[in-house]
Amino acid sequence: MSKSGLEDKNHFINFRLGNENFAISVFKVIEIINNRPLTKVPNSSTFIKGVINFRGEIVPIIDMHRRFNMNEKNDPEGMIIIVDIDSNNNSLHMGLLVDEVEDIIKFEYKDIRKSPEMGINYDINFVDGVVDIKSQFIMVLNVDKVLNKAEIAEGITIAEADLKNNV
Amino acid sequence: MDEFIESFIAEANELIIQLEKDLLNLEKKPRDKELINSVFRVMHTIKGAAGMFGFTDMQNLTHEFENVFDNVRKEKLEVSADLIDITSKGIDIMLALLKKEDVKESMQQVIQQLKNDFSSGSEETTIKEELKDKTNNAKEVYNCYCIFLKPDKGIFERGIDPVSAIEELQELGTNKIVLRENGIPWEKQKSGKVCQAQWEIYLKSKSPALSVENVFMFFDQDEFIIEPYINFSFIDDSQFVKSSADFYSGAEELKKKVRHYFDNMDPETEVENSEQVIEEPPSDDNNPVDAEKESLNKKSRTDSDTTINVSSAKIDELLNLVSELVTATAGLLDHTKRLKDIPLTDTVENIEKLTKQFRNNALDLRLIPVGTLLNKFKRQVRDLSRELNKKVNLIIEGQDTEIDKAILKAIESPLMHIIRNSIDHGVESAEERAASGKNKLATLKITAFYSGANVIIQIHDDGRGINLEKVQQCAIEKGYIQSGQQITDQELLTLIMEPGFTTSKNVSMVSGRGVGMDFVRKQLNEVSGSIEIDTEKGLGTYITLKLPTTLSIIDTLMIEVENSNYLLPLLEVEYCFKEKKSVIYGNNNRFLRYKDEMVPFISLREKFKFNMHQNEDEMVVIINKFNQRYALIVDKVVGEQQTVIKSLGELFIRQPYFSGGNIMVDGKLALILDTNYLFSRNILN
Repeated sequence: MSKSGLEDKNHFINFRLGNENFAISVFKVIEIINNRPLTKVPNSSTFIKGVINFRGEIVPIIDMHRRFNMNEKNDPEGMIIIVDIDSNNNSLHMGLLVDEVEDIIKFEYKDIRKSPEMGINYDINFVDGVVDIKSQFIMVLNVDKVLNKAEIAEGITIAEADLKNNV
Repeated sequence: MDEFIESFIAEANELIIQLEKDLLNLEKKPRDKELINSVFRVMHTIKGAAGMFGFTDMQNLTHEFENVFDNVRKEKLEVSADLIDITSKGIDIMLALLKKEDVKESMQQVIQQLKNDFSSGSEETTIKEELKDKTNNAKEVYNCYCIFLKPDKGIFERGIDPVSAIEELQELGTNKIVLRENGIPWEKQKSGKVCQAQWEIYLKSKSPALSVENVFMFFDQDEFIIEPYINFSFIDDSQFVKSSADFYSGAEELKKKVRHYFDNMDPETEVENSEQVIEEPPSDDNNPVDAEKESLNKKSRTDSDTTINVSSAKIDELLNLVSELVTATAGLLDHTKRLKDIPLTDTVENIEKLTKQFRNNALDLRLIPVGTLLNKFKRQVRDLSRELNKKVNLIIEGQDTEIDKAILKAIESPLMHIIRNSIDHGVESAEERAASGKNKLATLKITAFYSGANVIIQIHDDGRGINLEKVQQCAIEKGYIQSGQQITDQELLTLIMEPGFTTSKNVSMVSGRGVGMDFVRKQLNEVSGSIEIDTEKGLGTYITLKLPTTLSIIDTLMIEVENSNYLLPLLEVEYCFKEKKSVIYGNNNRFLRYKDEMVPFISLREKFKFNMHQNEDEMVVIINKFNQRYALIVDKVVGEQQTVIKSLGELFIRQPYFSGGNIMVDGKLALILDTNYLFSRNILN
C-alpha cells in the first residue's frame, strides 16, 4: 500500500534514542503511550523491559537502548510505541520503549540511503538505511529485524539456559 | 446460502440429540406412545428439512425410518432391541451425513435391513406413493387453507427455492396453485436470482395449521400468510379446484381480507375456526396425535426462541472488554476518592458495582449445563453394556450444574474412559452379581454439584471395586514399589494413574491398554482439575473429579518477590508460615521441616536471580501437588485474589515459569507461576 506510488511520500514516526533519531513507518504503529509501571519477567534477557497491560492484552516491552547496545541511561519520562507485527495474519503486539517521540515525518523510499557501517555498534540489519531531513540524519528502522519474533521470544526465555549453568 | 445450510445442520444436530434421548427412553418404555410419536415426528421433520436443503441421502434414510415408526405408531410393529439398535445405527449415519462423510454403503445396508426386517408388507410406501395415498384418500378429515406467498426479492441469496416449499405443500394434500409472475417468466427470475413472483395456494389437507406453517419455516414472517379457509365446503377435488378458482379472480380483495383477518385474529381462535371445516367425525388415531404434535411444535419453538448460538470468539472479546472496563472503573474510583466529592464518589462507586456485576454476568455466558455432556453418555453406556453383556442402569444427577464449555469439552474423553473402566472392570456380569447377592442390574451413577467455586463430578459404580492386592502386586512387578514396602490404599490408588499401569492381562477393544487413567489425570490437569479414587471391595468405586467452574477465573494466592507480585493457584497452596533464614539455609541440604516431614524447597529469589534480601525472616509457602509437597520461599504473602487469567501470547510459548497473567485492579499485571514446571523441573530432577 505504501509502495503503491499513489502517494509518493510515506509517513514515519520520528523518535529519539539517546542522541540518535530513528523512523518507523506509521503503518506498523498502533498507539503511542506514556511510559508506565511495568511488570518484570524474571529470567528474561535484559532487552525485555517487562510486560504491560495494553487494552486487556499482555504486551512485552522492548528496551530499545538495550536492543541497540546503547549506553545512555533511559529517559525516565520515556514513551512506548505499540507496534503490530503481523504474524501469519494474526496481529502480535509489542511495545518499544524510546526516550521521546518527536514528530511525524514524510519521505520517499528512494530517499533512503545506505547507512554508514562505521560507528554503529548494533546489528547493521536493524536499519534499512538513513534519511537526511532538514540536515538531520534519521535511521530508518527495519521492524522485522529489530522485532524478529523468534529473537524476542528467545529473549523472554533466554535465561533458562543461563540458569542451568548457574546451579 | 451456506449460512442456511449451516443452520439446517445445527438444527438437525439438535433434533438428532433429541432423537437419541427419546430412543433410549423408548428402550425402557417400549410402549410409550408419546415417545414413539416423538421419534416419528423428529424423523419426519428432518426428512422435510433435508429435502429442502438437498440432503437427499438424509431424506431417503429418514423416510425409511419414518415408515417404520409409523408402523410402530399404528401398532403394526413392536419396539424391539433390534429396532433400537438399527435406529441407533441410523442416527450415526445421519450424523455422518451431516458432516458430509461418505457413508453410502452402510446407509444402504440400514435401509435394506429396515425394508427386510421391519416393514409390515403392504403398508410400506415410497415418498411418491405416500403422496398419492394422501391425495387420493378423500374420506379423511380435512382442513382448508388459503396461503399467500410473496417471497423477498433476494430469497435465492438465502438459499431457498420457493418452489420446493410449494412441492412440500403438495405432500400435505390437494392444492390449487396460482403463480403470478409479475411480468417476468419464472425461469428467468430463477436464473437471474431475483424473485418477483407471488403465489396463491389453496390447500386442503388433514394436517393441522402448524404443519402447514412449518413448511415455511425458512421464510420470514412477512413473506407468507396462511389463512384457515372456512367458507367453502367441498366434496371432491373438482369442486375444490373450481371454488378456489373463483377466489382467484378476486385475489386482490382476498389478500386484503386475509391481512385484515390476520391483524384481528389471535392464533387460538384461528385453530378453532379451522376445526369447523371438519365434515366427518375424526377417525380414532389421527387427531390426538395431531393435537399433540401441535403442542410439541409450540414447545420446541419457544425453546429455540430462548437460546441463541454465539461464537465463543465474540464472548471472549466481550469478556476482554468487560475486564478492561472493571480496571478502568477502579482507576476512576481511585482518582475520584482523592477529590473528596461525596456525590461524585457515590456515583462512581455505583458504576463500579454495576461493572463488576456486568463482568460476572459476562463470565456466566461461557457456562453451560453439564447435562449437555452427560446425556451423551447414555447412548454409550447402553452400547457398551450390550457389547459386554452386562446390565447397567445409568443415573445422572445434577444436570443443571453449570461449567465452562471449554472445560466440559476437555473432560469428555476422560469421563468416557472412566465410564468404560467402570463398566468393563468394575461392573460384574449379571450372574456374578446374583451370586454375590447383589441386584442383577448394576447402577452407574454420575452426580454433578457445586462445591465452592468448583464443580464436582462423581462417578459411582456398585461393582466389585478395585482389587487393591492385585494393584499392589502389579506395582511391585513393574517396580513402582518394593515388595514388603508399607503403602496406604490411597497411595496405591494414585499408582493406577501412572503411565502404563494396568492390571488387566487382556487388552480388549474397550480398555486395558494402561493408557487410560494416566491420560485422564493429564487431561484434568490441563484444565486445573483433579481426580480422586475411592474404592471398597465388593461394593464399588467412587471417582471424584474436582473441576474449576471456569478456566478464565481461578482463586490465587498473591506473593511478592523483589517488589513484584506473582500468583499461585490457591488450590495447590496448603499452608504458609514464617521461618528464619538461618533455619532454612542452615543445613546443607535443600529440605525444610514441615509437620514432621522433610520437604524440598525452591527459593524464588534464587530462581529469578535476585540478590538475597536483608530481612531475617522468609515466608514459606507449602505447595501440595498430587499429594506431593514442596516449599516455595518468597518475600511476602500478600493475600488471596480472584484472578481472571490472560494468555501470555505466542512470544511466551517457550517461557516455562509462567502460565498466564492477570490484570489487577490498578491496571498492573501479575504473572501466574506454573507450579507444575517448578515442581517437575526442580524437585523431580
